[in-house]
Amino acid sequence: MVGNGLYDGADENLFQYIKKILLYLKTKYRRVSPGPEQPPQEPEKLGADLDVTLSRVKTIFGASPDVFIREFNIGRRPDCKAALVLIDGITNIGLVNLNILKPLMFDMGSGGGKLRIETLEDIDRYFIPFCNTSKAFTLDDVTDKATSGAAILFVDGLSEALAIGVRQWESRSIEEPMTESVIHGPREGFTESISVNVSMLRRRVKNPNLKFQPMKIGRQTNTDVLISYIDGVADPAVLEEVRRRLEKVEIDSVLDSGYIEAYIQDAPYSIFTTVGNSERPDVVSARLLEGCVAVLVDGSPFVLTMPMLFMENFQSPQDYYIKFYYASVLRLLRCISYLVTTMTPAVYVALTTYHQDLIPTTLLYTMVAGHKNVPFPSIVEAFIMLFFFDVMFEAGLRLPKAVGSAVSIVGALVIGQSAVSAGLVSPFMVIVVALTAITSFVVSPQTYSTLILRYYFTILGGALGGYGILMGFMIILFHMFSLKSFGVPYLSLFYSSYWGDFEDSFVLIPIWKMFFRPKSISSPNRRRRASAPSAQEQA
Amino acid sequence: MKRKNAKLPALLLLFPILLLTPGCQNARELSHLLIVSAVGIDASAQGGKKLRVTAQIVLPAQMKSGMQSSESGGSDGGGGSSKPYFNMENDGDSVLTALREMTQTIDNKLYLTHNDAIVFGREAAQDGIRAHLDFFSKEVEIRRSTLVYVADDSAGDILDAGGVFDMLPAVSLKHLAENQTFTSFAMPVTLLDVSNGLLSKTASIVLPIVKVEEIGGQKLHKITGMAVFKADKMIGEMSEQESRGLLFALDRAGYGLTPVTYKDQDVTLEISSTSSCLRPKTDGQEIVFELSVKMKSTIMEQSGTEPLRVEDLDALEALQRAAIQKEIDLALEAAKRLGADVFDFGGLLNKYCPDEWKSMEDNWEALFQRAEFRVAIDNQIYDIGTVSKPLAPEEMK
Repeated sequence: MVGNGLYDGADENLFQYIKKILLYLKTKYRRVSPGPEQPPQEPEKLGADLDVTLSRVKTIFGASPDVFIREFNIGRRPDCKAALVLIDGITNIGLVNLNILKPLMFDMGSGGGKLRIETLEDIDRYFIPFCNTSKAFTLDDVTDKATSGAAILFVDGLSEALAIGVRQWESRSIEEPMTESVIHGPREGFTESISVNVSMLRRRVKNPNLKFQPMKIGRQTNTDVLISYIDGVADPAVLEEVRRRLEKVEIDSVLDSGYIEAYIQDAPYSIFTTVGNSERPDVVSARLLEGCVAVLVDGSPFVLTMPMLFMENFQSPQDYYIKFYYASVLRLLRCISYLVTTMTPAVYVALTTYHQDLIPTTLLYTMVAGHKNVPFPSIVEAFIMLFFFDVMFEAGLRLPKAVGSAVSIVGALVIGQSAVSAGLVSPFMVIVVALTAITSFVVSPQTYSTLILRYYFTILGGALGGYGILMGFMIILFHMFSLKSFGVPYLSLFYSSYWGDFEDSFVLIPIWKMFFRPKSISSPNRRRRASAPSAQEQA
Repeated sequence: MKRKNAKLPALLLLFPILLLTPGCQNARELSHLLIVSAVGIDASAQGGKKLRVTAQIVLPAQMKSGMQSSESGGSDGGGGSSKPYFNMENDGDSVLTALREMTQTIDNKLYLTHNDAIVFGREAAQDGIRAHLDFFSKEVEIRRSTLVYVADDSAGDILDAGGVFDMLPAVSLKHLAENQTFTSFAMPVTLLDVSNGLLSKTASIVLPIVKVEEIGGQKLHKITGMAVFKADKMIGEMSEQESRGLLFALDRAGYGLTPVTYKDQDVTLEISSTSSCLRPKTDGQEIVFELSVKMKSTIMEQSGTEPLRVEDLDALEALQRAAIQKEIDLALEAAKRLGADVFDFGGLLNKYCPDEWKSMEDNWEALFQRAEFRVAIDNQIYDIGTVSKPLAPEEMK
């Protein structure tokens, strides 16, 4: 039946058939269009009648107990009704009581003069001692501001509202980041609060050119997103591209910067990520100063940076804070570790299954002796051990700390001892997996591609031996060469016809020799310092 | 459209199968490997067969336990039943038939890539080795760096001796070949060298001879000179002295000792580096080979009590020159006696005097007897060891 299906007619060969299938797949899985565009709804304007407005506000917020609607009269006058809407927990209630309600209710008009309220402008100017106030004209505006921590003042007879910024909420204090800990270097990390994060960047780059562009993303969550860059250093084309992609993001909720990351990837189906992220203000500041653009998302301690180069996986913030010789050795070590952690099981399987001639003779004797009682072929053995390792790693992450040590004991016993003595795997496979495991932690933990690559290479190594590994490596290499992150080739710093690009690559030159920003992250202002040599000299 | 949907999964299934089909069929699991470390070929077969082939199959499990027992100190010398190898013997009409038909008895096909040595029994070597080596040069698993030996007697005996230091006889053979550089009495010869020798019309192959020597109840290997071949048949031997002369001419000599007698005392000079250059010179009648040897030596032993002076060094150098010259002459003599061009004079003439060679080629057998050496030795004693005077009181002068 299959044979019949493959050939429809005498004039149709297999190649044409595959082409047809590809065409069919292309049309079938094309994204479904969302139907006719709905005309944008006219935003509901605020009316002059306070009661109507408040009832609208009440229906919008429902019976949520944290929404306070306080009706009062300004200046003890019965004819001058007003109301304050705010949400408990994200506003500073004490401040509101003392500095908004008190002056409006008691102090206003107490001078004996005639009280005339014609515009909110007057109240704003004379009675609201807050630096962050703005006006709202529509109901959407009002709810937006209330949910992000403003107290909204309505006055009867006026078809506008005043939003007073009194937001304050509980947040985690600044702690040392878990993902990128260093021995030498600043210890603070970003928190979930976007304003704290902004302040941390501001403190590092005291420069009016550090700009933040606000955006709101997420139809339900209305999450604050900030595009951050240094004017005159960041490439305007990249900045424009970031803004364009963020504007196109059509999403329900943004709970972490990972959501945004997924939406603005250059190659969303690739296993490599083309958007960098960091939990450390010093790293993000350094990226900004190199000419990158950062995206801060409220509620996430991970700040996105772009463009991202593959080399960033091997760069640690500490590299720049310690002696460059040592840093260079560490860089090389990380690069090698990446290869080791992705390739070792594959190479082991290929060597033991196909290329025994490449194993040193004496070692081969020992390996054969160790493998004598193992009933499985090397590939199965490799999968058993890799599965053990990945499961233990994942379990270690999820379990509470008190139970975590139990896992490591069980793991050490199972993997190190029992698996070998039970004849399930050979002792060499244990070494291979141990090596794989250890080296996987040398590279940045954000490099999720290692896990997939490890299995990918192991399958190829088991099926096709050294040829398979080589072919798989070529495929990955071609793919990586084709990747671009916001216009910058993903593998820049790995290859370049320009020497200057290698100064922060496999090895690191001293920081006092880095006169220029990386050429690959093109910047209108490449010179880091006034004393930098001229461009010709550098080239 | 419905029909195409059914074809799609079939096609998608085909791809992984495509990936697996070519590969796994050549897979060979470690636990099934029968690693051969040495092959011996003897002419003494039974039942009308031409050859007896011995394959030394490594028993890794025994090897590992042997290692552990020697580590724990309770070693019994690795003798007895716990030998880490098994010498599989089989008779056949050719090397391949004998090797392949072993599968009738043993677990798996032999794995020959890690084979370290091919040993020919004396009789087999005298009958001719070309036919036996053909399989080794055709088989993809065989390394061209495999060492080739001639046994003093039977190859099977060689493969059952020498497991004192290295556990495996094959490894012992390999190490012995490497050791030859300290005496320069023989040189290691690889399968590649032998193949090249067999391809040459005029050059003769030389192979190290190995015999079994029993010392302290243990069977050990000993290398005694070189076997000389004409075409592919062994026709004679060269002694250790003759072999060293040959090695000097071929620039294969490493270190070595030259004991001389000087002023009624024995002085031993150790050659610490040597290099040589051999060039032919011919006018069609006279065939002269200019051999220039450069060497540096150290005085390593002195039996007398009188300290050596600078004038003495010159005299010692002259004595050493004479000794080396003698060895080289002995080598040429032996070659002429056997009528075997072990120096590959023919190849050198072909390379440097191609016009003359054309006329000589057909008559080389006779012309070879007329070949002469013109030796220039440039030796220098550059060191007299860590003490400059003998271990004797000064007054004794």
